[in-house]
Amino acid sequence: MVKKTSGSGGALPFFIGFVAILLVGWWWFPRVLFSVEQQPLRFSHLVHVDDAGMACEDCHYLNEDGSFSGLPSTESCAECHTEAMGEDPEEQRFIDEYVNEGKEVPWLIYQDQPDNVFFSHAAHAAQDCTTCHPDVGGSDTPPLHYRNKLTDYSNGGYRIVFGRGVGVDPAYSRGTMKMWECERCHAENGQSNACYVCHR
Amino acid sequence: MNRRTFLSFAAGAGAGLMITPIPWKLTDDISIWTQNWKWNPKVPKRNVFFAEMASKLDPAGTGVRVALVDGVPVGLASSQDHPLSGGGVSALAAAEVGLLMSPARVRQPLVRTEAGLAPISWSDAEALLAEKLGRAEGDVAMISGDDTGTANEVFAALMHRLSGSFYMMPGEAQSAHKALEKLGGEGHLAYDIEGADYVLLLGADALESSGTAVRNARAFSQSHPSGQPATAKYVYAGPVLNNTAVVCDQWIQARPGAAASVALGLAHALMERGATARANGLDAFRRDVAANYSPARIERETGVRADTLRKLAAELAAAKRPLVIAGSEFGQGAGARALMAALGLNAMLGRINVAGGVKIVPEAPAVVQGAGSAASRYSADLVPFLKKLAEGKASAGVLMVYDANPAYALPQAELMAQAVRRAGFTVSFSSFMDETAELADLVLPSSMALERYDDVYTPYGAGQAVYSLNRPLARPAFDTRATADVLLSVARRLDIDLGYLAFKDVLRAKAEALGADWKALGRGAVWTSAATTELVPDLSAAAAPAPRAQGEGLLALAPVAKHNLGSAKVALPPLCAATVRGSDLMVQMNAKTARQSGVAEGQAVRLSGPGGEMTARVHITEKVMTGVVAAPLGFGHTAWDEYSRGLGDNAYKVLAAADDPETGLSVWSDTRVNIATA
Amino acid sequence: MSTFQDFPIRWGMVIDIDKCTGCGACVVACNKENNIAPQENQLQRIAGKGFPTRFKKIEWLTIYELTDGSDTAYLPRPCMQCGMPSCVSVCPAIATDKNENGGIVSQIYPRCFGCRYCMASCPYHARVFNWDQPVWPEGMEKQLTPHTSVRSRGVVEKCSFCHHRLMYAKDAARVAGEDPEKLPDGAYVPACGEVCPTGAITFGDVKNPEHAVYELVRSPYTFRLLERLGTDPQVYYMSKRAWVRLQGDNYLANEEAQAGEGGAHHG
Repeated sequence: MVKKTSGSGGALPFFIGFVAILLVGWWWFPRVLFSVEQQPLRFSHLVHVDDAGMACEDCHYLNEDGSFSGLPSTESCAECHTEAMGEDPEEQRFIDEYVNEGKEVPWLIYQDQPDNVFFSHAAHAAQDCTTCHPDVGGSDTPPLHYRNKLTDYSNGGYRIVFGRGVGVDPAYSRGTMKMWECERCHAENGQSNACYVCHR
Repeated sequence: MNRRTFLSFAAGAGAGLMITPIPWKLTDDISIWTQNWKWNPKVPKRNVFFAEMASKLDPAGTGVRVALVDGVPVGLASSQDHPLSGGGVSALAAAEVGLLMSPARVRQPLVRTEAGLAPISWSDAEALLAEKLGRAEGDVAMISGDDTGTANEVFAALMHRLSGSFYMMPGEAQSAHKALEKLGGEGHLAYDIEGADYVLLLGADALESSGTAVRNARAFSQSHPSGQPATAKYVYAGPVLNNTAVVCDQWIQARPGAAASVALGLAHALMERGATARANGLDAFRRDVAANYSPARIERETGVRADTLRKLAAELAAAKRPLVIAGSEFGQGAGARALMAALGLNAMLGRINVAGGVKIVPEAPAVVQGAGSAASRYSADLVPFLKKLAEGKASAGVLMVYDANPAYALPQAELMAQAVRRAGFTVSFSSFMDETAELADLVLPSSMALERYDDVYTPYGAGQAVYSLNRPLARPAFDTRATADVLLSVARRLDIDLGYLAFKDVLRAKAEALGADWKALGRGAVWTSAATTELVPDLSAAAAPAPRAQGEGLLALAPVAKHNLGSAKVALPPLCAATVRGSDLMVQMNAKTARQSGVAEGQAVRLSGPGGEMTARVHITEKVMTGVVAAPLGFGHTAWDEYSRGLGDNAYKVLAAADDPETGLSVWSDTRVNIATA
Repeated sequence: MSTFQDFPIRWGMVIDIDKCTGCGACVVACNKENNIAPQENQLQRIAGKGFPTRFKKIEWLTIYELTDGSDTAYLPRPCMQCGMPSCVSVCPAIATDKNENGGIVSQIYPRCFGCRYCMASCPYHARVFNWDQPVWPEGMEKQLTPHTSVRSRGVVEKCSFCHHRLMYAKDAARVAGEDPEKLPDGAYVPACGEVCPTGAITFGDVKNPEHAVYELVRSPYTFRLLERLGTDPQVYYMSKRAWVRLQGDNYLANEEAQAGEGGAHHG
């Protein structure tokens, strides 16, 4: 008499495998794929906007030649911060390690793009900054920076791996935008999607 | 667990996998990863800022704008307003920024030990140099190749205090000073080429390697609007259709070194038409011209036909604002004769001290005591001194070399290298490991123009007095210093006070003496002055017969200088390596000469001349006149880096200098060589 | 399938061969601007064959030496940015396309997988291939410009008329409140045109009467290379010398008279 074994192995192993891989895929995979980093200094926008009464354009402005100033250089910060203006130890650390040494702060860029991409802030000056950038204007600490270990792309302030859309979900990552996001907005606004408009 | 359980598990995992991000994100990420290979260098992301600079590498003194990103020079743009560039940038100036990190750069001071050149600290090096200079007791010589900088005043003043000798590298600037001196004048020869309507270039490669080449090219450009009739005629007389001749309106074939003879032949033809000059010493001049420079004789000696010469003279006489610029075809070796003769010719055409002609720009006021005048700094003849040094007939306890490569770029180059070896203690201030630095006992690398304070006053050929100031635009890439500062410091160790603490102070004094605004200069403004000195030339010596050709060979040698291949000071810059063509490396002759010499296209040959030999392959082209073999300058380097080392052979080896007691400047622009298959 | 592309702006380059001295400043400037690595000196090849080869050399702008047996001329050849680009029609990856106002043919490096079909197709040999990984001597990679990305081994590259300069000029116009689609003459000039000491290279919008090139392309001395192939190049050459104009195509003896008269057919 042949012992009859179950036909396919059973529904339970299937279910276990299914759940296991879901856990691996949704919980373990993002943890492993992204490295979490903090900004080198705890820069507080709140202090500068509320307490010091500065406007965004004081540090982030368009130059005459059309280029964008980007993140201010140590030199331009040193225009005010040659000596500690408050009590925060981070400020003193900035002065000791960067102003006095004449070094640039290696800020982690949330909206980092690879070398072959050309982006013009001047062309997008009519847009609101938070369309593409995390809204840090009112933050006291900069968001954590999530970096994809395989591609070096930034995932902005979140470890989300799916479901990003421009202006759709306010909680989305605002990290390195992929091509389709730029293309869609261009198409919706009647702008050219020629290759050289965005690539170099 | 059995196989089926496992498979069921795997199937479940497989099904689940499809609704996890893993396969989709990984595929997407892998494709992104392939687009951004990590081993490719990243480009900077910050903005580009521009700062003005005058090129020290390019003898044209071209004004450029250096593009800087985060304080690092990344490129060059043209400077529209600079009078010496008018928006153009030469190949050499374009490569200057890239040379900053060139593999040939000397990265720290080096001292010679048994095992070769070894690192030494700046303070030890200065102490060593001070000790050697102190013990030399006047047996000191310094060579400078910087034709435009005030640094020479510091060097000459130091030599003066040490009772040593100061030499400038031979070149057009030295020839011009000597020629002017012989004719009773003083200052800088200036050519108002923008104002001329007929420009005759006798030998001088004025649009490529001679004088203010970029400015000249701009003047040529303005007078030759594309598709329209030209408003000036440019004529080039020389043995090779070089970069200048190829765009000129007419090329007159004339043997190498014939510039002086052609100029005087034209003077003869003008005299036949009854022309006279506002000058002294006219009788002696007329006598010499009539006796030695008849068109028939010119035809025999230079290859310029008598009827061509007469026609040229007629055109010069008919032109409203003709200008004659003479010189060596390759930037050195013509001595003073070509320029003396050309001044005589310009005088006969009435083109001295007038718009569109030759003007005399005053010397810049000296600011370092004991520096002497520029004319005095140019008076010593370097090549005979080095020859004597090599042969043991002269001595140099300490030999210092700044911004020059005498072991490579002088006639009888191998003998010159011998001289550098024979000096008691040779110091090279070169920024690069050139042939001279490789032989030196002490290498104190100079910071490059981008990294130091320096200045440019009226390069040879400029149309008016021009002064540019260079500030350091980048932090020194390596452990280098500005040589003028080093020598001021060494002087202090010897208790010699030259009157300044740092070279920057010397420059400030210079600016003040000129009446220029230091702050404006620092922002990139250029100081100019239209002030000129009157000259009534004394032409008695202008037509004296020239020394004979050097060498006994059948072919005349025409060295050709092209600045994209480097210059006398710098070997092929890495960025210019792409511009080298096959034919650039070859010696060139036309079909007739090749037949007469029994050589064929591509054949390996050896050229033997009075100074030595070189090997190359032959290229047949009608760009060279019959009886002449053209050899490229700038190849055959044995030092530098992998971009230039070992490429081709050094044509300077073949040349040999002949003394010219009449002018006090030796000549080597007329060399005869023999060619044989190698 | 590539059809004739017409845009409101047509960026054109006019090179006056009678003013080109062959000095190479344009090539050096182009190489520095576009992050092209210094090229090796091919010593071994020269020792063996006597001359270097262009095969492995990366340069976007090549200067050819022309001769008719007695006279000589120099002809710098960038990418022609053809109105009807044969390279675009063959690219399997659409790594190259002509879809931007102005007509500059784009070359997108991450998209190219190096099949080199475009190189076979281009009649002007304007495209070069990275057979080897570009190598910068230690330290020189710190001097890269932000203008173009660095190419890897296995990718085709070509002159882009310094397209990044067009982008910068447009941004400058935007900040100044001017129309980026109506750049004045001289606002956008590639590196080669900017540095040329003799001003042999003029650049601008050939459809815009306010630009210098508008008149130059209508000159009787103007011609284009290999016009009869139907590529409609956006690079025009000028020479007052008939023999130079005859170099523009492979003319038969009975065609030479009509060719020598010049006159470019401009789109």
